[in-house]
Amino acid sequence: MFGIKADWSLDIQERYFTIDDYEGNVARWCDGCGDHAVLATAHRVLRDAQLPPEKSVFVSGIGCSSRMPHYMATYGLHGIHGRALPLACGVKSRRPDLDVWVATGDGDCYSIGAGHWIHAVRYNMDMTVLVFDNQIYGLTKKQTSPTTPLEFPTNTHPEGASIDMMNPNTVTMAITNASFVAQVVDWNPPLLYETIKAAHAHKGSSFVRVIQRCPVFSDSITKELQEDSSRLLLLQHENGIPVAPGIDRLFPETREHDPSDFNEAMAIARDETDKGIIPVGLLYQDASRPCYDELSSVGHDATDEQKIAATNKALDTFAI
Amino acid sequence: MSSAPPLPTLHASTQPDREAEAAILRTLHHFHLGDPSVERETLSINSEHLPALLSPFRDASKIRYDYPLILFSRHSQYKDRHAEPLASFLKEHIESFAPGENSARILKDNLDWLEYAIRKEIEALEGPQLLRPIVEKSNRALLEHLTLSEENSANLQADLDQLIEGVHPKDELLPYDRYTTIHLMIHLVHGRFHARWDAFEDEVKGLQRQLDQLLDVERHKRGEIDATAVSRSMGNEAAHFNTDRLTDLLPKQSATVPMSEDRLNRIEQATAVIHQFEQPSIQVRFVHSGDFSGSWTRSPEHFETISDEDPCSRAAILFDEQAGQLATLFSACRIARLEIDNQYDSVVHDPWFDNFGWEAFSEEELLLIPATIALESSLRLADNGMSAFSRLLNSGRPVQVLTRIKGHGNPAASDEHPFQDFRLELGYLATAHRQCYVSQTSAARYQHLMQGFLEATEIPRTSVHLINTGMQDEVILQEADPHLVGESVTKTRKQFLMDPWMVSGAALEGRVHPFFRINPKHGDTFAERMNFSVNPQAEKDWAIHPFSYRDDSGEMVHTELAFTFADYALLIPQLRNHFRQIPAGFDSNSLIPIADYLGQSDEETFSLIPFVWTINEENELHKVVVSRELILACKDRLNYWHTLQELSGVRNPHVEQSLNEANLLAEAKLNSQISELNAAHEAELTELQGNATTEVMGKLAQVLMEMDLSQGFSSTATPASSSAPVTKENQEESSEVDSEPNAPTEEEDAAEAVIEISEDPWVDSMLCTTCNDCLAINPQLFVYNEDKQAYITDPNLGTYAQMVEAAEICPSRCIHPGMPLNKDEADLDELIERAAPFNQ
Repeated sequence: MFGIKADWSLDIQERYFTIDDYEGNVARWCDGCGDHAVLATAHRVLRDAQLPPEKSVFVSGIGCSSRMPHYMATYGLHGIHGRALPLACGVKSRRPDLDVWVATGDGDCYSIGAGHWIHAVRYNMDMTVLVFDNQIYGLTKKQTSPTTPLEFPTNTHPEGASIDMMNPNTVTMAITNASFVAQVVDWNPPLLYETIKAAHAHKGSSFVRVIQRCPVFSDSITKELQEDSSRLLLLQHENGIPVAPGIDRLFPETREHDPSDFNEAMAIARDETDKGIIPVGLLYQDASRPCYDELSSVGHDATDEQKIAATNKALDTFAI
Repeated sequence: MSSAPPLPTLHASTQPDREAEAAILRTLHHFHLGDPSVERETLSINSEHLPALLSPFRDASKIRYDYPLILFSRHSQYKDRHAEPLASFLKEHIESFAPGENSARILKDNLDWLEYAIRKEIEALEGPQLLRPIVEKSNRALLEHLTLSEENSANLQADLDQLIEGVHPKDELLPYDRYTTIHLMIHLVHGRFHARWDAFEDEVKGLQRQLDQLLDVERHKRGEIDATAVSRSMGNEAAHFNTDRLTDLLPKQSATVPMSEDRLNRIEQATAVIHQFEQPSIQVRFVHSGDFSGSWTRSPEHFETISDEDPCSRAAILFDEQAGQLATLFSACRIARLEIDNQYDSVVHDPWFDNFGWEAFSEEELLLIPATIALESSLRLADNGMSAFSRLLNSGRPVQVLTRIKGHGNPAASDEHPFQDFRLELGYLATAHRQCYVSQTSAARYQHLMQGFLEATEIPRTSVHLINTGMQDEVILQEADPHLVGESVTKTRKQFLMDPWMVSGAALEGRVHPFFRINPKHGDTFAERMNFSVNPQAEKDWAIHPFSYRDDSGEMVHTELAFTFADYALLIPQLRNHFRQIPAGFDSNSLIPIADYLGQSDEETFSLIPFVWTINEENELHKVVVSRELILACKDRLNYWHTLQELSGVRNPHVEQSLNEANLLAEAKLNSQISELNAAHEAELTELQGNATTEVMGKLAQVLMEMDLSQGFSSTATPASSSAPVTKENQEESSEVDSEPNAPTEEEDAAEAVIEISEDPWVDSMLCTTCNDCLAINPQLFVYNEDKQAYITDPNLGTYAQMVEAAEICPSRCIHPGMPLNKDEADLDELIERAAPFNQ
């Protein structure tokens, strides 16, 4: 039309960002740690979105995972144990314009932070929640975490974990107002990238459980999966996580799954086959869920005069 | 990242009462019919009201379009393309040295910025500009703008250097301005001219050599041989001989008969002319009537402008002069060829060469004549220049006539009252001169324009190029403020918000300036001669496009809009008095979209008021009513469009009529055949019904008797197939055969092809998890790319042992060690064995 081609609009950016612009301190995680993969992917997602670094904030609790804000050149808040999510909710409430990320771990989120986890998912504030799940307490040298597999020996359970691991996906999906639940492994960077990218694009709390290696304390848990991926079930759907050509060849088991189908998502997450099948991809998404930050941030941009006037008006209702 | 512009919104509906509605309609109707008394009661429109379909392109600075064009010099690696848009050149050239999404990533990510900077650089300039300095300057600006790390900066610099390498120092950048067409024409003529004359020069030099030899032989016959001639006849070998002594040794007179004096004179004359050969210093001559002032071209090379009040006539004279001068050279060459072949016959050829003029030139000779181009104004062609124009077109002289056509104007009427008469279509007039080449095109579509120029310069015929540019004289006019109706208050504002390139595009879209080319060389019929491509949706009256907006309740509405001549007229300030705003939110059954109005008969539209949709600067959708005068102009344009459709065969009423008649005949024939067949079928059916029951029962009994009832019934088994029952064993066998075919499938072949063992070490970087394991082993050998994923810099920077160790430790198994480069390394056999699993 009018000689205008599809790429007619010149995309003129005032600023341009490379990976360097998102890189903070040199990461001090162990060599071979899966955290590096998540960090590098977060850098790439931000670079590809060309978001100004000062517009993002990374909030964390305590644990290996929670060192992430130090390694980002964005704003960051290294909080206290189990409180990554409520801190992030606070940030989002007052500064809804910021792009909020949460870096938490299996201990920080599912154990000490479990109460906050439930309410944060219910609030469904617009943020990207990355759970670095290495199925062990790594920072404190190998204690049993909520997702440590049954019979896996740890310092707290030298004879092996005595109770079966919890299922973070079914728990999250069961929380009222959950809007995005995905699971991925850290050793497949293309899938990890697409998953985090989709989570970042989702409006609402996007919960991503990253099953990842701890080369020091829980290496054997993931090694088996790395060498034989037949227990991993790749979920595919036009509304799911895009899978680049060739990547699906790394997953012998695949399945079509519509992420809007809650019951099917629950069935997959629960693993009704009882064979230890681990789904990867987008389990559940409902973009229509309300976001509490839109309600809690009303009036945050009011001037002092406006606030005083509103307060006076409210108080006037009590005048006799 | 860019996002889609917001949708326009419709004003909230404000329906007045019946009486007020009638009053509004009455006013609008009176305006439509041309009643000047209602002007004060209506709201005029201004430059912020754009046709709804064009509104998204209001800000021309952020639009990527075909200009500026790169004019490739004749030394450029891309010279065969002649010209190409900057945007596509940048993209394609960068892809040529950095293929794939991730190479030269920073440059590719910022290509829009670079393109924008280059556009800005030439924004205020006119005419072609040397490309290289502009790109270099923009490159420096990009580097400064990005403030990258040292490493990224060096990478970008390397990519920018490669970009510059693709630009030849003589390549130029042509912006879209008043004289774009002329510069493009000059560029194309230069390219062709050099190639033709270089080839001709080679030929002439060949003739020169052969004539010299002929004369040497003749001199020898006449005993006039000298050392120079001997030396010439020996070529390069002459240096090895003493040619003076050799000349003395040669016999002074030959026994053969010398040529006649006439022939000798003729050859000597031809030789003299050919020896004086030189390429014409002027390749292009423009004749104009004074409309083109001097500043429009930069340092013209091989180029001359001549001012004359009658460009067409002067161009013919200039052509004759040029042809006359070249006739001497061409006739000398022809005589030379005849003499070399000893084919010259004085009786036949003398009179021929005595009257050797351009009419006798061959096609190749005609194409060697420097281009003569008459720049005519369309107003002059429609007025007192018409007879000279017509004479030139019928003369057959290969002269080009270029004229600019204003989309809204009528060459036969004044600019103030363009709709006073029916429009004179100069393209149609030119087409009436059946032997000339006609191209109606626009500078905004460079490919169509170039194609027309190239075709025209390839055929030795008179050519006419009718070109629309969308350019208008940029003036600041006093404009009545629509919000101050009835007041004498005026305000000043810039009149032309739309880019001329867009205006010209709109002229094509709105059937204002349809494109076509007529090449008489292609045959005698319009079907062979006429090219009607590029016109959008050529089979329809108007081009129709999808359009979306939000209604007064905020709901998204998807609809379609036609782009008509009236929509185009909104872009022309002189025509704004043909529109009046319909009160916001007002609607009535009497209002009808203009395309629907034009599609109905006068009787049907008698009481209706046509309108077009506009969008203002607040992105609000408004209806504006159209004057009857403009409606008549729309009908006139539509009529011409229908004529062109018919000539091009896109929609030919004769064909449609014949087709209908043929269809009716075929249908009638078919119906009669169906009736006959039905009758025959009925008759057969009746006959068969009598004995069918008996026959069917007989066959059924036979089938039942042949069946093995112990195997049960099969819905598909025939009696014959049931005799070979499928046992469990052979069932399994057959399923195995099905599931395991002997021949590998294509997919398996492809997979096997991918998994080839590489001799060289490599990292599947896409799978790297940035875990630092390999970098901890050897940070020189393994480094991270822009995405922080590892790759091998140089395998020689580490040992094979390190390569194998890295492969073993890599958690994502993405390191493939290949085979050792250094055959002297210790324990190679063991290392190769350890490496084997990672090389598969």
